[in-house]
Amino acid sequence: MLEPARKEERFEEQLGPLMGLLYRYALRLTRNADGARDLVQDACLKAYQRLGQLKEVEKFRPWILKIMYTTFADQRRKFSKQVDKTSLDESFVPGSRELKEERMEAVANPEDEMLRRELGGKIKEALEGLPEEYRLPVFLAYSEGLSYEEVATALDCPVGTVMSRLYRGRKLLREKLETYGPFSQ
Amino acid sequence: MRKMKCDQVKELLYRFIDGRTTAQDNTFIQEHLELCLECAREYQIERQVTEKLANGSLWEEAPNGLYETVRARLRTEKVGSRLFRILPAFFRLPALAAVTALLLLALGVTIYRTNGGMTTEGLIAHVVRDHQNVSAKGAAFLPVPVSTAKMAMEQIAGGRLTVAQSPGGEIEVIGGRFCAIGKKAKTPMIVYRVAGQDVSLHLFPETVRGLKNWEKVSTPVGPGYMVPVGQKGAKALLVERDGALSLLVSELPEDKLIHLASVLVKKV
Repeated sequence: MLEPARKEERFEEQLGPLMGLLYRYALRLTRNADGARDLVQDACLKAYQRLGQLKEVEKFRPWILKIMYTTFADQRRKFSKQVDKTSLDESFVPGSRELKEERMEAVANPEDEMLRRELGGKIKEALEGLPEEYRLPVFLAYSEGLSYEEVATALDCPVGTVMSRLYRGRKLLREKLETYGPFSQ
Repeated sequence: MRKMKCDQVKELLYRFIDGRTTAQDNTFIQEHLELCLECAREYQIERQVTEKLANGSLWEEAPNGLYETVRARLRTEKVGSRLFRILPAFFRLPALAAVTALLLLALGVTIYRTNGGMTTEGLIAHVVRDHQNVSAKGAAFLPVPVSTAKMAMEQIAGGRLTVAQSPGGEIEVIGGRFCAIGKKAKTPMIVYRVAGQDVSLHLFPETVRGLKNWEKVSTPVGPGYMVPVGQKGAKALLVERDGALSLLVSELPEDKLIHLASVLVKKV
């Protein structure tokens, strides 16, 4: 058992290299930059508070991703009960409106427009258009390189479920890509 | 010899690309791909999609300063949790809140009468009104008793008690709370007394989110920000000072808030 000071150091050591992954995953969950920043902070704080529950340091990455997912799910449940149309703070509004605004900004940018026409841009747009139950495992497994087992831990579901969602998610992704035009290599 | 059909190969294609098929299935799949142009094309396309998904240039980097912001919040958590453990037990037992109140009274600290139905805005206004009354006596701000702070925090989901350490090393827990800035952002606000001097309210600026959306104002003591508080139109004034944001939360009109800032900050 690590002494408290040593444990804190180890926590920050593990956390540092994962900030990019955590932020990108938070973006896939919240669909907006402010919400993603908030979610990363909240999840890291919760992970720190629950550090004693982590038994194997090798599983830190999927463990903290799971905490982020459950934190987001809790916040979404609370938010759905407290929708206030007059709220001035719109940094945590889940849903398609923020995503549409981001897309409009992207189209207005010529460089982004070029990227969109390229396969990579099409893939990113197609992924963002997937339902959450497919978007998340496809993102974690293929964009972030998590193993099936790590994805299962992060999403708190069996490995078999991950495999079937990956299969279905990739098929949907492909169907979306086909709508952009004939697939050229 | 077993041969795979196209639909069987297509079903296993993703797992084949991921290296998750058995050695035996690998053999059958590779044999099929050598003979079937359509499946071979599918394989090439899916491999390309897989490679593009893994292309780091497609995806976002963490914004500058995010890690530092997280570490700052962790430091706050560490200070709070460490010192909270060593606080006398009666601070932590709601049943002994009355004893706490009496002790604070003995120390010359004003006790705020609150009831279970007091809203956050009501509590804040109560504190600020008292501040106005006592500012002439030389006190910059009166602390919120622990029990009152706890009650306020319970009304705001996620609130917790925090402590702070003075530059001289003395620590006194007065109270702490989360104040909802806007609708969802939660910002820790520390109220503390330093060795008998005036108390101070501070926000950790790195925990303040949505800063760019706030209305900037000029105060006699420096630049400030007007931000909405809660959902009933109350406003807060934050004043920049020595790298921190001093927070006033009040239902007062804007011009009175600015005046209050000048009185408060001078005393701190």
